[in-house]
Amino acid sequence: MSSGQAVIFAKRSMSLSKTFLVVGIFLAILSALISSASGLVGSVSKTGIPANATGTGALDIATSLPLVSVALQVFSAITFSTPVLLLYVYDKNNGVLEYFLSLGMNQGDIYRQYLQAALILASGIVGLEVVINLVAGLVEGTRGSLLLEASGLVVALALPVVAFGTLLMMSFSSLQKQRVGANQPLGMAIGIFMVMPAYIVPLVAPSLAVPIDLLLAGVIAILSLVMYLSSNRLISRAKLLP
Amino acid sequence: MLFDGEDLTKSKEARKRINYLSHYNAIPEEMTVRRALDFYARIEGGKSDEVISLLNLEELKEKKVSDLSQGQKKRVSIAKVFLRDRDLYLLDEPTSNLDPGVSKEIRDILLRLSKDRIVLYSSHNLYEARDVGTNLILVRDGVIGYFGAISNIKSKEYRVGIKTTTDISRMIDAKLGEGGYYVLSVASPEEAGLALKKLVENGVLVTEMRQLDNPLQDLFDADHAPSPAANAGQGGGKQN
Repeated sequence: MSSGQAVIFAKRSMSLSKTFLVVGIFLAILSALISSASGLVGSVSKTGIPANATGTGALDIATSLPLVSVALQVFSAITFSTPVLLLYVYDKNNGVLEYFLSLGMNQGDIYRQYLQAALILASGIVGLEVVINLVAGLVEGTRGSLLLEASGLVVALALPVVAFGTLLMMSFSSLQKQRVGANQPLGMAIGIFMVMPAYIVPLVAPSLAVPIDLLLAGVIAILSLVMYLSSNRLISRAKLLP
Repeated sequence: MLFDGEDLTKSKEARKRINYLSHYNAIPEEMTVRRALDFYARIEGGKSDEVISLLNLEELKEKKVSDLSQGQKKRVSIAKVFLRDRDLYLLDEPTSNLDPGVSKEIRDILLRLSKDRIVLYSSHNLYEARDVGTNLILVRDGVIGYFGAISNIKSKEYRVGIKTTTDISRMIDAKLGEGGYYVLSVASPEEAGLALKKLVENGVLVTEMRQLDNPLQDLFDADHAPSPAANAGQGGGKQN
C-alpha cells in the first residue's frame, strides 16, 4: 500500500465526517492557546499560585500549563483522526474490506492502510498545534524552551496514541460477536485512559512530567506495534466481512 | 480450498489470480464512478477507462455512486471486478435483488465478458443458470451433486409449449394448456423439431415455441439427481 493510497483513505475519512474535524481543530487551537497562555500567567504571578489553603505547596501554573495541554492536544489528535475508524466501519459494512481480502490482502495489510490514514490526519493536526504553540507562545512571552519541550512531547505522544487508539477501535469493531455491535468507542475510551498520567503528573509532579510522557509514548508505541504485528492472528478474516 | 494446487487460504499469489463479486457492491458511495474505479485501479492495477467502456458506464462516470440505482451500482461493482485480467472470476448471484430488466442487462454483459474469460457464476435461479451457463456445478447441502456440461442434462419429460394463430390440436398430439400454449410432450428435442416441421408444412403460423420444463429442476430434485460420485470430475474447461 503506497503512501498515496493512504492519502486517499485520509481524504475519504475527512469527507465522511466533518464534525470530528471541526471539533478536533477547535480542541487543538484551545489546547495550544492554553499552553501558550502560560506566558501571560507567568507575567502575572512569577511565584506560582498556591495549590491549597495551607500553603504547604505551590502549583507553578506557568510551567504546568504547557505540560497539561500536551494531553489535551493529544486528545484533539485522537478526535481529528476518529473519522478513519468511521471509514473502517463503513467499508466493512459496505463489503469493501471483503473485497480487499478477495484481492489477496490479509488483515495486517488492511489495518495498515487505515492506520496510515489515521497517522496522516494526526500529523496534520499535530503540525497545526506545534505552529500555534510556537507562534502564540512567542507573542505571549512564554519561555521558549518550555514551548519546544511541550511541542516535542505532543509529537512524541500523539502519534503513538492515535495509532494505538485506531488499532484498538478497529480491533473492537472486528472482535465483537454480534455484527451489528458497536464496541469501537471502547478503543477511544481506553486510549484516553492511557494518557491520563499526562493530565495528572504535570499538576502533581511537574519535574516528572516529561519523562513520564516519554515513557508513556514508548509503551504505547510498543503496544501499537505488537497489536499491528499480531493483527493477522488476533482478527480472523471472517470478522472483516459485512 | 485449492486453486491450481495452491491453498487459497494461505497463498496471496493464488488469491491474486482470482477476482470476486460478492453480494455487496463494495463501492465507496461518496465517490464518483470514475474516482471509485480509479481508487480500485490504484490498489489492484488496471485502467478505469477500459472497464468504463467495457461496462457502458460513460454516462454514469461523473455521477456519485450514492446517486445510482441498484442496477447501475451493480454494473460499477462488476466493472471493478474486471479491472485486471484474472484466471478466474467468481460472481456470487450478480442479479440478486434486481428487477427482471436489469437482471437481463447484467446477464447479457456477463455473457459477453465470459466469452474469453473463465467465469464461475453462482445462482439459486435454475432458469438463469440454464440460460447463462455452459457447464454446471450443482451444489446441494454443501456437496457437489453434478459437475458437467448443461447440454448433457436431459429432462425426464420434454414438454414444449407452442403458440400459433390456429388450432393445431388435430395436426399434432398437443392440447391447449398453461399460458395459452399448446403443450406437446415428446421424448426428445428432435421430435419437437419434427412436430414444428409438420406445422409449418401445413401452413400454420407458429409465433412462439419453447421448452416448458427446466432440466435443471429435475437435476435439483434429489430423487432424480445423479450421484455425486458419478458426476464429480465430469466436464471441465470453461465454467459459467
